[in-house]
Amino acid sequence: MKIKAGFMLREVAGNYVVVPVGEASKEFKGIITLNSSGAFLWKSLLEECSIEELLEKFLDEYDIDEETAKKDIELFINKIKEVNILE
Amino acid sequence: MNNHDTYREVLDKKGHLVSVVIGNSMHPLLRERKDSIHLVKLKNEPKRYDVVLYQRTNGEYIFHRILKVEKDKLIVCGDNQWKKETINREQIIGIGIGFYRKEKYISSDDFWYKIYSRIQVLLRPIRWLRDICKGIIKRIFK
Repeated sequence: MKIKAGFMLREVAGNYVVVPVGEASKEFKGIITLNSSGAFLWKSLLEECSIEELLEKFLDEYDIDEETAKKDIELFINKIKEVNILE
Repeated sequence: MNNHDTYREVLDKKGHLVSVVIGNSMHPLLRERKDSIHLVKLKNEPKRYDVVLYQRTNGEYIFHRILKVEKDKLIVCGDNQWKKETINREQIIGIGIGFYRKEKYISSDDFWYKIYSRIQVLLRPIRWLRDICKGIIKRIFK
């Protein structure tokens, strides 16, 4: 899975905002704000990546236990699936 | 602009927001669905040349430049337009402090940006002439 084309991640004052551009801005009519771990997952998903690979990357980057990481990833994936920006 | 209810909410919560530009009223600075604006909540009094996001009484969200500040009213106009609009300060949701032209970020404090914004305000009265010329050309070559 990966993030669809047409979404820009912008960092503003320690927060991250996802901005749809071009065709994507016609389909996606929301505002997505992310914290730094959300932005990390987002960046990882710019390239094709499986859940297992994502978990591995997340655990490498953050000092958290596997259970928490799994939950965070699941939450993140569900949210971006909901708004249909994952392919 | 999109997502009508949440601009104010996001700015209240996070203080900052980046949004893609819909429409060509701020062309050539901002190109539709390509460039985006970096907005913050309005803290100080808005000034001439500032670009503000405001909501029209019909609910529409607009991002235009301030031409003039009067007591509690503001006269605004898009860089690509010549018709002025009067708004109340309360209609303002946020102020633009920077712009993304594709990947490049330009701060509203940038020297050349400031020159550009002054020229835009200065040239507004003759923009209608440009539009009339465009109309004539269209008529000739239709």
